[in-house]
Amino acid sequence: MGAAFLGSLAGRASASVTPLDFSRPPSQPLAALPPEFAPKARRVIYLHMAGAPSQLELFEHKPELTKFDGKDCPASFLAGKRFAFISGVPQLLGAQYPFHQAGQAGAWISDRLPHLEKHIDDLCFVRSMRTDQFNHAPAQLLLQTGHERLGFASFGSWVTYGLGTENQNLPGFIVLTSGGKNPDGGKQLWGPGYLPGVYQGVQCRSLGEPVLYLKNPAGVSRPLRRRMLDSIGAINGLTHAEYANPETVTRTAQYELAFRMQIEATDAMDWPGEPAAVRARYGARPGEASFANNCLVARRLAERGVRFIQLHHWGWDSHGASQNEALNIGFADRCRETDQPIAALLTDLKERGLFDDTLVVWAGEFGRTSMRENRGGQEMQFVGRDHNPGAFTIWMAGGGVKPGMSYGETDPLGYEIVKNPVEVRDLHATLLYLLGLDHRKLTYPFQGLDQKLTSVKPARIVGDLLA
Amino acid sequence: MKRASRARLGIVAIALLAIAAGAVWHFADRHDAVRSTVSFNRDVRPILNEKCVACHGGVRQLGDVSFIYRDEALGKGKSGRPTVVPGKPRASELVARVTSRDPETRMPYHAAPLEPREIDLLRRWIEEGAVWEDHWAFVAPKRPAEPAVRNASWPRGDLDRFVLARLEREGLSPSVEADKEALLRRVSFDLTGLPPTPATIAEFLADESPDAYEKQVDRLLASPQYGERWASMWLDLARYADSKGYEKDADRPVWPYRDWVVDAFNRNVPYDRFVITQLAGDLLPEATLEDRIATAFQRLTPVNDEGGTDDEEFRLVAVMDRVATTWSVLNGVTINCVQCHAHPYDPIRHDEYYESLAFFNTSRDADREDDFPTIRVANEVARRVDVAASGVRARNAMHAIVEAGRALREKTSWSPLPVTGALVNEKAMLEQIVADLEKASRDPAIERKKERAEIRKWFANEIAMRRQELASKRGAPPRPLGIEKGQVRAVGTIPSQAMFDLDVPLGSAAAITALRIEVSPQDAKTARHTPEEGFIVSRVEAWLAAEGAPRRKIAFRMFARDSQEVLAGAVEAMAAESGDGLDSGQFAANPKLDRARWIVAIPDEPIPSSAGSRLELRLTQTGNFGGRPAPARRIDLATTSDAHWLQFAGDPKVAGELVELVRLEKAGARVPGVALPVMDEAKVYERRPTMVFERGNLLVKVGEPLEPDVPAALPKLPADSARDRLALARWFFSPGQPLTARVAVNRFWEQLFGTGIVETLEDFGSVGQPPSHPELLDWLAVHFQADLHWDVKALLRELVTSATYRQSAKVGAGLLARDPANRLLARGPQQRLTAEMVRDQALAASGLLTPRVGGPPVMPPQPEGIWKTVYNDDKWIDATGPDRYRRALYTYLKRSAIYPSFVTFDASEHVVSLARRIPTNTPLQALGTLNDPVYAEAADALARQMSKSPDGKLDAKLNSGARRVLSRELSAGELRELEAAFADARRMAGEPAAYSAVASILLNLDAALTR
Amino acid sequence: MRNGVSARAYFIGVAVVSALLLALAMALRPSFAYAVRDTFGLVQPVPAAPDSFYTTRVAPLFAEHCTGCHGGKRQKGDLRLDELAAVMRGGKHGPVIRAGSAGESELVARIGLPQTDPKAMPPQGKEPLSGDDVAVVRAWIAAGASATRLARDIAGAPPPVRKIEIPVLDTATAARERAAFAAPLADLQARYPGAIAFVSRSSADLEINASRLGASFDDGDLAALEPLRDRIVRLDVSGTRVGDASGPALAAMHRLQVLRALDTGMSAKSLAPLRDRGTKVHDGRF
Repeated sequence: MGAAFLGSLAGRASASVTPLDFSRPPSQPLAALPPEFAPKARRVIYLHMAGAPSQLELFEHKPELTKFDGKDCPASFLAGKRFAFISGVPQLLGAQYPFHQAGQAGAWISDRLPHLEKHIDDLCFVRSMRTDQFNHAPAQLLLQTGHERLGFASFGSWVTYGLGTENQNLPGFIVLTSGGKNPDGGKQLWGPGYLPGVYQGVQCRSLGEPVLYLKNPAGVSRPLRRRMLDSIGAINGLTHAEYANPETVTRTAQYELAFRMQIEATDAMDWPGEPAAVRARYGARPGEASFANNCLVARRLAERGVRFIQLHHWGWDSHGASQNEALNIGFADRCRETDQPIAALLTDLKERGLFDDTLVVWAGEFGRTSMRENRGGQEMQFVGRDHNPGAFTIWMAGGGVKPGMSYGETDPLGYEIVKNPVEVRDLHATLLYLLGLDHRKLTYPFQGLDQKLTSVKPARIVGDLLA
Repeated sequence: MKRASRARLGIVAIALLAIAAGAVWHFADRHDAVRSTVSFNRDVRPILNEKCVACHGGVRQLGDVSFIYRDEALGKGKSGRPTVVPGKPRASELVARVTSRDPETRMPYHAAPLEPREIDLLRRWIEEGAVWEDHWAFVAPKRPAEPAVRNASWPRGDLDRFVLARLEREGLSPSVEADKEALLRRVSFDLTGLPPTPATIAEFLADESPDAYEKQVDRLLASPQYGERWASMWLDLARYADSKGYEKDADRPVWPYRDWVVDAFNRNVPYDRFVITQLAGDLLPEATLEDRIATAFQRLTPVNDEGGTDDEEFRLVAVMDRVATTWSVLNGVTINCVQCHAHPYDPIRHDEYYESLAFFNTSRDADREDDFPTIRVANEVARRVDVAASGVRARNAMHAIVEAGRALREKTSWSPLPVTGALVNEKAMLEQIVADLEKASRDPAIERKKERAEIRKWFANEIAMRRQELASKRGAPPRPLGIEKGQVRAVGTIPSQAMFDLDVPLGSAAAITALRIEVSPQDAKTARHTPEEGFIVSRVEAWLAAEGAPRRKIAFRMFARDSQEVLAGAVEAMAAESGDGLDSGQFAANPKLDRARWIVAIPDEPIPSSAGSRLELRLTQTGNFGGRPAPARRIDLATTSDAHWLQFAGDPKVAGELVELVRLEKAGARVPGVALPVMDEAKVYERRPTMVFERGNLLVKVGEPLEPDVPAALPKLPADSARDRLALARWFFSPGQPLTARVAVNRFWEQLFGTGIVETLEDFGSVGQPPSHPELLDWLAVHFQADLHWDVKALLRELVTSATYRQSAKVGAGLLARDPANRLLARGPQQRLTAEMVRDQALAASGLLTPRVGGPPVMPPQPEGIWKTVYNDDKWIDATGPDRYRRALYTYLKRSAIYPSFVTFDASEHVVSLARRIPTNTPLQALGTLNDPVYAEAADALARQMSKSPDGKLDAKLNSGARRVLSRELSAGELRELEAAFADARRMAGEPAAYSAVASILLNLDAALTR
Repeated sequence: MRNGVSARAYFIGVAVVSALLLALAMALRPSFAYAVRDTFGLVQPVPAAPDSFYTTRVAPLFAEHCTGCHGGKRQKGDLRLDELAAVMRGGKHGPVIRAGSAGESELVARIGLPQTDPKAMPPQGKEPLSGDDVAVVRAWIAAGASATRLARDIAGAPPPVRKIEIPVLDTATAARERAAFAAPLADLQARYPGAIAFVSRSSADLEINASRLGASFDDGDLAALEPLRDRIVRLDVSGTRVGDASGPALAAMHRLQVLRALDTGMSAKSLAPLRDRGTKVHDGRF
């Protein structure tokens, strides 16, 4: 490990708050470190819906918008705004699905998420999220790394840097993707940025080899591998006796850890081994890298002490430019692919006593416009909405958030926030608080600045979201 | 004794006492002063940086107090009291505030008070006159005196003397020289990135001559592998990658630049020339093809081609990345912080960031999907020069034609031609598209293609869809466009495929020799620095409707365009196979409209414009910017009867040249090669002004345009020099420049010793780490610049042949505890192999390595499913044959999915300029070198080598493997362990598997993964 | 006293003129008028009740956004907003609050203006009051700008925003408490690697996760945790061989808040007492 650097955090730039010390013995970069204060959540399952699901077809009931369906969009909505594809004067578009009230709080929800609806009283909705990026890759980078430019550390990397991980035989930050494509932001969404490489997200797969290069090559049985590791350890011992470089001892330890990881990771990812009833609850089917399989794996990893689990499901970008991007076709598929598995995950976490201290976050990277997209200045073949960074809706559950909460409001047409806007950095500060960390003290010195996930602007912890 | 004498005695005693007290007080004070005087840089600045600058520095100046500049620190705050009064701590508000007991006034405000030690340092600094020092890195290095050393025999050169002096001061002594095998392995990896071959080891061991080692060093420096190893270092800094990044992450072939870097290192191009060519090669007098290829260094920023992005935003992001990369790589200055505010603690003001930006904001790249401007580089090196020569000739010819056209337009007196009728006509557009589709579908060439069925089906589907649209709302009759005072003003929704039909009454007496069509921004002043959406007109047609005569189409002989890029676009269209080879009059502001753009249509013969006749002008617009329509929204027409335009159209130097340009374009397109993005300076009439962005927001520019300049804290640009990139590039290497040489030698040092003399290579500012050996750093810097004249190989030769470098890496417990990170250099360096070296060693040791240098990137085995990029169906096809075993440098680097084993071994993500890699030690690395198919294949190949080695005995076979992987023989203990492992493995899985197992053990030893 | 005015007339004249001048001055400068009435004790400033809506909701808003320029050190426009009496007195141009009518209160008008308006308060560049903040002030004034009325009887006031304050990290007390059981903790952590950790940097409480030790962790091991029993607040023995025999050991952990015991030998009966005393028990049974 870059001991010389990590160990000596001297000469830091001045900060109004003294950062915590995250240095560790170089041989255990992922060793667990206690949070600053008692945490509400001990692990995170982050469900990133890549492409930005339309809040107006899921959670935001706007009868006024339905009334003005097809009318020209008011000029005030367009002045001074930059759009990805809308040009000239688009028309307003009412919700494409019927809404009804559900749960004790009578929260409005469309008919696209019948399974999740059963958990609506557990969910804490934030209806007034705001971002300043209107393109997918920069917006996803902002949400996952606190910066819209490449090169910064991802949320999961910060959490494993700050807290390490409980189970040393598994990676601390595991990423699973589905939906046929990687998210638009690419691997940088779970990259270490300027943090040491060991804090990167490890991409695992619920189909084929769970972790890259986990399985031994053909012809190398487990006992043979054990015998080889014994020799490696012995000879490294001789080297250490002669050179005394501490990294030599660390390297031998990593080979033993890899040997154990081969067992633990294979077992953790062996979701087909779950009882049929559990697999049926998720709708998990072997032979495909589906979101359902990934949700079941997420619960198994949570049980085994993995600190940060991130699922990316691509395909929510409902512009209306093709069937897959149509609000009445592709969008409905995405809902079907994710509704049952997410509900099953929440139920499973409750039954297995993990719900209270597992923070589940469901979010896209921005919202969609109240207007129908008119790409190329023409009426498009399918129905879709353009990107709206001005207002989007996410929900959280478990891990110390207030169940049945609805925070923030948008105007009757669902276009702009009128109450309690929440910036992306505010969300980050709040999630870190739930994990027992003060976002101002979780820092890493780089380029002469104590870098933070919430960057340099002031961020507020949204107290009203906490139980 | 009498009373008096007693009294006298008393007085004498008192006097003596007084004298003694005075002496004690006096000496005490001097003693106090004997303690080293307070150094501002060493003692005071770190306190200010850590406890004060967050509120009283570059970002904020609460209470109008700041500690960045001397005049501010000695000035008055809002309280009206001077912050620091030299010589009078009691009169300095600083001392009052840090010692105050009232929490409302004590500084640091609402935070823990300063430690007594720190307060004492501040007080003594002020007492001693508050002597201000500039930060050491901003003061040019002076050649330090040669330090005296006791053990005069150890140093081999001057740099050893500095290291030894420090060791002797610390009471340490240097280690013995490393044994020959370890030293050869270390220097082979450090200089070439590859282990020594068994033959080289044997030759070196047998060579008893005193300069045996120096001979090996010279051999390594002369080998082509040297350039490949040092190119790896430089490509981290250049953020080199083979794809664009972000969502689409499309393939972008820039490998000719990588080959240039490898070749430049091998030719030992002096470091100043090496950098100046990359910063401003295109501006060099008689710039060669090589000089232009080098400027691709500036064009490697990730590019966002996602649909719906604002190209001006990402153009500026690229320009800002160039500024940040240039300052970070060359001077270790974090100027990127200064985008939004003055530098938090180094003396760089906010507007000085934009004075640097002004050097780079005049380049012609504009985040276009075709990466304009590019130069054509033939794959085949032999053909490159002539292909490039014709490219440069074409570009200069186009500039000449454009300049001539611009001059003539300037001289011509134009009479405005007010438009009276304007329609946006989708119906005609759709009919045109259907007609074109049907014509194309009848092309006989289709029958010869094997996928003709799909093509026919595609055509049928497209034609049906367009016909269906014709029947729908889009087929409605044309809608009127706004007109104000003869100017077309298109507002509201304009479809991206439409024709503008303009109706223009004529009536001037003289016949029209040229028609000028001008498209201007809606707010000309703002557009200069914050351009509006661009436009694309793909075809210009006109008809004349004279009184009582049939409506006839006007044939245009030629079009004069307002810039080279537009002419280049037209030439490309004319050269396209599918086109009809005629000039359709296309012109555009692509992607943004920052000034009025125009085209002049020159008819075959003058157009009669008798009263009552009318001109019908049709502008076809089918282009779009990533899905957004690109209509011309403000159109003005003007005509002239000046005969020069007809001569211009007929002039062989113009018309003839155009034909030649189309021919060159067609010829160029047929040569297999790449369009390499390079730097190209905008002409004066295209140049953008650069102003300060309010708090860094690129949408809000404030103040007057700035002149390019360098920060005031650094030496001035030569007064007479031009203010362009070339001047800036040369300035970095001017004698007074304090940082370039230091940062360069520090980087070479870090590559060889594992840690820089200044550990934070990316930050030489006042919060970066101070140098461990300041005099050594300055001596190396002056030596590299003044004595070696930036000769890289000479510098590296001196470093690797120094006694400091040749020390053994073995360390006793005492020294390890005293200096775990080897910052005092009492022992030789020992580093883990870089990601590239891990792969290259496995291939070299197993005999699989294909040593070919240069060429397009290759795709060695990678697990499937890694490449799943949105809107991009590039495929990773595992290479078979020699390309499967090329050096890591040549592996295809896709930004959104870096080759997995490189990432695991801490390689750069190649998205931002990376100053240094932080090595880690993880289980995933173990899994990689044990199970990755690349290493499994290498182990099997090594096993075959060992089993086939001539000497029959097992220990000889094992040693043959050890010499390849560990560059030495096995020790007795190692041999015993491997023989036992071989026996057990043979029992478990047979002999071939046993050899593979032992080979894999060798490749996974700690000794194999270090150098 | 023929050619002069009599002393008495002179005295009355002076009194009348000064009264007139005083009245004129009071009319022109309301803050002067208030000062006059205040000196004559005609005004009874009512001290704000500590639990009143004003103290809990309105005063903090003034403190956060206004007292920088309208407070103890500086009173721009002669206006002080850091205590109720001064708030009611108003500024140079008179009272800024008309009790009972938010619409006619200058203060409400000013804090409602958009940032770009030159008269907006706080002025441009400073953090403006949010919509909810303005609603709180309006509700208070509408309900009579009372110094005593409690939050619950002020209609229409938005709920208070919950502020999160992170205390300064105090590791000293934790270090003292931890010292008491440092030895037993050290060897138990060695025996069960990665299973025993402190809840946080400022706490001496422990959370133990033995689930990854699986079958190798049994009742004997649970008993070995006895020296730490007062410190254990969370315990996970899922998938281990812990059985009902550990009932007493668990009972002894009287500060145990959460127990996770899925797939263990413990019967519901043996877990019931823990649930009864308030420990949250997860054993996978419903």
